[in-house]
Amino acid sequence: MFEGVAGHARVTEMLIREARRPANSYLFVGASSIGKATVATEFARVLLCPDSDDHAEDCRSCRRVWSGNHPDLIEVGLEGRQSLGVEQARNIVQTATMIPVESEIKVFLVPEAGMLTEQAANVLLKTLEEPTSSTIFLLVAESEMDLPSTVGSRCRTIHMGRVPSDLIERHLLGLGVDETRAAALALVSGGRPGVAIGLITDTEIDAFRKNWLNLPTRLSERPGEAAMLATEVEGWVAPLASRAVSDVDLTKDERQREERRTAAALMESGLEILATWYADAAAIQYGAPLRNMDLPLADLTAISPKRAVRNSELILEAIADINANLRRHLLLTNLFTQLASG
Amino acid sequence: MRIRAERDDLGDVFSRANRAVGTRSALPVLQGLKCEVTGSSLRVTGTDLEMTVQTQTEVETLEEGAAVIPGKILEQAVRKMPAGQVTIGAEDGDVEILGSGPRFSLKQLGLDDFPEISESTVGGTEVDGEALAGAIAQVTTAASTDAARPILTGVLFESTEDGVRLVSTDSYRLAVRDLPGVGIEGSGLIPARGLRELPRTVGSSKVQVSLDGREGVFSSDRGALRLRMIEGTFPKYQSLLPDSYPNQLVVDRDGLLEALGRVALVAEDHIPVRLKINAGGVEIAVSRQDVGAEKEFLAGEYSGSEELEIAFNPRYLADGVSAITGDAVRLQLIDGLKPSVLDSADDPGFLYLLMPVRI
Repeated sequence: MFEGVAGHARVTEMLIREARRPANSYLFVGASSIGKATVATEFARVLLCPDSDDHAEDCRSCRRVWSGNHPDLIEVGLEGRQSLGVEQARNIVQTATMIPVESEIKVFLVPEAGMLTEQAANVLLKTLEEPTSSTIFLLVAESEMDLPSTVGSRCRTIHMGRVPSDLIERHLLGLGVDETRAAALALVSGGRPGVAIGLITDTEIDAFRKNWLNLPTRLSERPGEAAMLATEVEGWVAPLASRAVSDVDLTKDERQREERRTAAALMESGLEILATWYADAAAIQYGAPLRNMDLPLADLTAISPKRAVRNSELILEAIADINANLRRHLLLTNLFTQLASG
Repeated sequence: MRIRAERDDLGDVFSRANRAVGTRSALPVLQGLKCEVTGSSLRVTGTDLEMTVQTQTEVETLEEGAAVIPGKILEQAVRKMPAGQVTIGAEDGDVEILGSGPRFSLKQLGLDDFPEISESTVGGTEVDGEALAGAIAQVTTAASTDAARPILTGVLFESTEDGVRLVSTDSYRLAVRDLPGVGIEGSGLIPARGLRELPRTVGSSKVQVSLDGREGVFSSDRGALRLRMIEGTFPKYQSLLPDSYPNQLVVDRDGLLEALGRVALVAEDHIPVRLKINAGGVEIAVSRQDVGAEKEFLAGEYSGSEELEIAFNPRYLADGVSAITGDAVRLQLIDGLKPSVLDSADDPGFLYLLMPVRI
């Protein structure tokens, strides 16, 4: 029933049940590019559809949700602004009191709810808590922490995780991507369908993965060389991130923000790919199955299994630190020297 | 679709429908006017979802059909044609506008995307268009413009025993207007902003009014204005209106307005104007620390037991006085702290209740 969503079966099944008796406000949270806004829009479409059964192409309500022209789906976007301020909040409050145009309900979709200012959130509180019976709010943010707690506590929170790579692969196959490419994209996207879809036509996907898997043999304990390597790694991520969002219709500010998010996501998947190298190094020596079948065995066995496990742990810690917004270049330099030191 | 008509007739139906087309619309398709041709009639619909204007005119029909055409440029393109006949044709996603010589070709918007607008105008009762427009102008004076209190930005239409009553308030003042002889079903809260557009869109000597659950509908021989209603409960205003007032002052309306005009020079918004009312009339005074003061006496008839002093927001008082038609206004008071009522013997059916300012 939820069209065009990769993975998230548990969430969509729950939302289909919810649609019969929806709450006033929902907050969709999870990492970037995993499909939160896609799921929220599909939920809005199900809520607005006058047909409670299956939603076919010939439903006019659904078609207009997809084309962005449904009169009772009110999308509150940034439209070039830096934040969602008091003016937008007042507009929401006012529109929320209007009788729906065509449907029984009207749905507000706020895809960047994390950009609500404190003052705007205050204006919204009363409406979020006790909207008119015909109003449903769908807010989307990367984390509950991005929103004032007063807003989060008034919403039913839907936590969304990253999507397993086999499901992303299956979704890409459905979009007509060939098998090898789908597998490569799923791996590079690190569980984020949005990133995978943005890179469907990109030619550098394989190089991105190979570059990360070549890193272990190039590491050096000397900080200067590690720093140069860190610069090089950032150079793999940035152009790919900007190409991943190049097809999307965005304002300059929105594009920059999306690029930053995608770059962070790609850095994370890159580091995860790097971690699989060390996992394989340990696996081959303990006789466990390998993740990457194309690595030179001599390289993998040149490192002790104990060190390989320790190195994967170091990488996972670095990922957590990057998500905490520590200085990325410094962090990578430090990681690379640590990985190289015996 | 393909039609031919006089430039100025087309310009008129497009420009009135465009009153409802915003410069920034929530949905892309709302930048367009929906044009439908059946028989010899062209129906034009513009909407921003809160307000919908439907206009129509007789045209020479070359081919029936419908299209959504970008509204602003359509109106301007037609208006800037040489005087005479203009042809408009829509086919395969394109629109062609032909004058005698110039030819525009524009892109259509998605007909399928345009919201469904109800066509019903049934069950409306006919009212004198001027009286309705006057009543709307009187009550919308008191409506709030604060988007944070949406219910107060509307005008309540409620049916009474002998007609319909229009009420609005911004919680500082309240305007009530009775229109006898108008029957509507039920009640509804209609945005004041849209109501003010009535004269400029479909205002006419006869207007039909109806409430259809989602919308308030005003239709005439010039088309229909449909206003999406506000959900929610209007404040219980009846209890604010006392049965009788012991003290009443009657003064010349224009004289009072002029005096308030002079007061406004000194007062600005938050400085109250003080009224000292006694047997001979009223002393009107205002003073502001950093500017100065103004004081004058206006003769009037006072029927009350004692001298009274009361203060008001000068703009709210002036709004009330100017909303009243007639030569004399009556100010009815209980005391210096309770709400007062402005009305006029020459203008039955309207009253304006005003909260005093504590001094």
